[in-house]
Amino acid sequence: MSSIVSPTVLGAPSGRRERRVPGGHELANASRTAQRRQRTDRLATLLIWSGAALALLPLALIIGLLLVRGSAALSVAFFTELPDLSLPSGGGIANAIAGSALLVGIASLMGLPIGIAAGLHLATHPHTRLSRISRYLSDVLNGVPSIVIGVFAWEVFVRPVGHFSAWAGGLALAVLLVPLVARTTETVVSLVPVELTEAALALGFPRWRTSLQVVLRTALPGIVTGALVAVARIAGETAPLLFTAFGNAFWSMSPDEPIAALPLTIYAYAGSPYEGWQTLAWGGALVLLLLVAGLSVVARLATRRQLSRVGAGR
Amino acid sequence: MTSARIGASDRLFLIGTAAAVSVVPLLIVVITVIVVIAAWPAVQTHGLTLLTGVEWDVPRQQFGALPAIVGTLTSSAMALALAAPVGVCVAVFVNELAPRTIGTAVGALVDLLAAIPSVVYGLWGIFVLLPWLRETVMPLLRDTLGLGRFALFSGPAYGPSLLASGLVLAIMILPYIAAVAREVLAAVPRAQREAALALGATRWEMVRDAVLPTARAGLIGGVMLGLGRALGETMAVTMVIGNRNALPDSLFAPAYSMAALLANEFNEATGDAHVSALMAVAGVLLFVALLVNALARVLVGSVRTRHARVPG
Amino acid sequence: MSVLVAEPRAPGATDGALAPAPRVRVEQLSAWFGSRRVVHDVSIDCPSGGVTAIIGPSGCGKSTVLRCVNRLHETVPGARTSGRILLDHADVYDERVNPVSIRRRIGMVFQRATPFPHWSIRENVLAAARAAGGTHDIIVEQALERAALWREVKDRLHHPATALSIGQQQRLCVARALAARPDVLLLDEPTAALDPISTQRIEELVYELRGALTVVIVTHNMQQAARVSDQTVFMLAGDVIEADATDTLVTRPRDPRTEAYITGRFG
Repeated sequence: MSSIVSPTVLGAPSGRRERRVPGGHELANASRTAQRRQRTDRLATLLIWSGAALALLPLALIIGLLLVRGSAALSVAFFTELPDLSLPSGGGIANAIAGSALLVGIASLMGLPIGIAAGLHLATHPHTRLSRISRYLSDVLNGVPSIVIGVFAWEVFVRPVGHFSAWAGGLALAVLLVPLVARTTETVVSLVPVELTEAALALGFPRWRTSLQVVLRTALPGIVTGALVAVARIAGETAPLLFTAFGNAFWSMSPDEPIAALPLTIYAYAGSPYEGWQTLAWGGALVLLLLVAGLSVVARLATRRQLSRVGAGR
Repeated sequence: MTSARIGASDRLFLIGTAAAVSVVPLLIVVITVIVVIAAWPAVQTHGLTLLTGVEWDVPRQQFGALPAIVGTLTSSAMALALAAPVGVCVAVFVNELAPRTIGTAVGALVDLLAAIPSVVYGLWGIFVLLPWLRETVMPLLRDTLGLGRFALFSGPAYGPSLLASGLVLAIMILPYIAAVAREVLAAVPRAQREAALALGATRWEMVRDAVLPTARAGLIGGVMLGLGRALGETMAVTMVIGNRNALPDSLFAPAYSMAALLANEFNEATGDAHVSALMAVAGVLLFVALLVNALARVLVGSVRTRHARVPG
Repeated sequence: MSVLVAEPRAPGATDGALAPAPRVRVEQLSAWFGSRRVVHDVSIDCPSGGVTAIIGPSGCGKSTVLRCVNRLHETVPGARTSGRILLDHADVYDERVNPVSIRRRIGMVFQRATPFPHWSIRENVLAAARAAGGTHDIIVEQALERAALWREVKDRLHHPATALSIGQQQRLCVARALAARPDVLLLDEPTAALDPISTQRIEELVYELRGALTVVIVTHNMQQAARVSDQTVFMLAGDVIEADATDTLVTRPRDPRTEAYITGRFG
């Protein structure tokens, strides 16, 4: 068999990158081609490096400016007072921070249990027709514009009762939360080794106990971090709140009334002519960014640790 | 299920989680139905002029959304043209070229772009991007480079414009395109790369000939996901596009988008006819987004499953 | 199939008060994954209180047979079975039987150690034991004693189970199975992932359990089967080729395929 491999093949120049190929017209040509290919390679590499650098440029610009202008706005008053045009500083955005917390709380209360239960089902019954359809539609629902969710929530939760409310805003956010959480939960739960499930079943655990006490318990840290990322994401949403929570210049913690929210406040004050209010917008944006990006980073680190731990436990 | 007798509590648990799973398809159906019902009066009254009319005049009860539709499509297309090549560059850089630590860091930083709320992009757009466009970029393109001869780059430089909206959208959808592209490239079998290298290909030739063609369907899917994001993006666009409800004749001209139209007018809607017309706009937006996302997911999913079980 | 002749040993001293362990009889068992039939009409008789080893090359269906005994096979999507499995005289596959209650009577230990990661050692031992009655502290100590792990972990019962070495984790799984007071213990290649010393511990354990429990152990290690079992079943491609008292099967196999396997000519 081995005699089929001809000595010429074995003896051929092993790498075409060879710069100096001794003698022969064709080989000289080949070396010129090789040089051209090397140049193309270097050029393409350079282009790709610059493309990646270009991608980072806006990030640096946005974060840099936010840090500068946002931190200038931060003060004790910023976190404790209400907006006030008569003050040069514009006052504070305490109502918006509290309002966002209430809205996100309502959304989490509704969205997290449904999302986590759905993710658990997707992971434990991955191939049923219901799971296939829902998995696909979760991704599609993730892509539905949030302004459309807002319009929908207005039609269902605001129009019938005749007034804006934190309930409506929270429910609109919950609609965004469910598919996000379902998919991250599914991913984490399907990482739980099937042997653990079988061990629990073999011990005579009923299905529900196996799912809750073994599978869900094992995946819990990952589920929590996934939920954190999703909650952080919806905390930054503005469009679904425009026609539901509406915003409120005053202090309100009543879920049945219009309520202020951090993103809404930023939107309202960004376009205002008064520097005090613009400052509030920048400060609010920094707080929002720290909240959202900070949670994402923390969650990412925590997930990495948790994955390595489950790996060690196998 | 199996022939096994299932305990009552197990059955209850299964029904409970299955109900949670059903919430997702149910939501899509309910959202669609509600929006269509609310838009129906406007569709009956105005018919196709909702899509083709260029006049949006509330007092005269004229609701032609063509300017908003055109604005949405052009700014999204511009965003794709800018973000797609950069997004693929990022993916190739992270997966194929960069040393591991640098690659991971760049990937995480680009991901961070997706964590910035839309309204923050809008704020940055108003205070940084718009002045820069007005004072530097637009005069440069129009006068210094002489592009003003073309209609696309002519007209006064206000700042708020299609161009501004396209740029902001490009930055915003970049992380989505890059993330999908990275996932898709990672799914290309190692053997494919090694085969190319073994034939004496340079690294770029390997990427060009072995990696990118294999990943093509998924890359297109990723770009379509980005398109879906761009079409429905509301806050940042509303804050920089200029909100002028007329057909744009230049990239420099203020324009409108469907999402911005909703954000601006919905709360001030006067009368049921106006609300219904806005619902029709929301319906168009929903329909386009569902279509684009459904297609994108099929494309991305095909690559994922085809190469899912390849080790390495 | 052949009727097995191995004599059950006298019940162990520890469980004298309990009823004798049941005889496990597999009758005409077939098992499928989807349309693929992996076990063909297999019949095996495991005497009360004896240790039965099932040996054979990988993929011969020996683990599937084991997983049918506690009805774990059917939890895999698309999997099904036909035939009967009797615990004394009751059919495990009787339609009135809840598989959960069957699994409480039958303990199982897997190839890979499967302690529940976020549970403590103590919680792991008690996982299925709560229904078994008795004081928890006593259950934990007894089970860990029987699994020869008590001395190593008695001072850290509240530590996470995954902090143990792999060998200890596997013995913890044995303790967890024993704490539920099963009548039957199934062992699916329990030492495949273990070092020689841990393997020896498990084998000693199995030896000590005979009499008190009916044990079925799947292994592809001939020597292990010879060391721990009273009778051995040799399977090949989903069929039982030969079953006999272990001494006989190992020294004087009747079927040439058994002989080929035992002498290491394939597998």
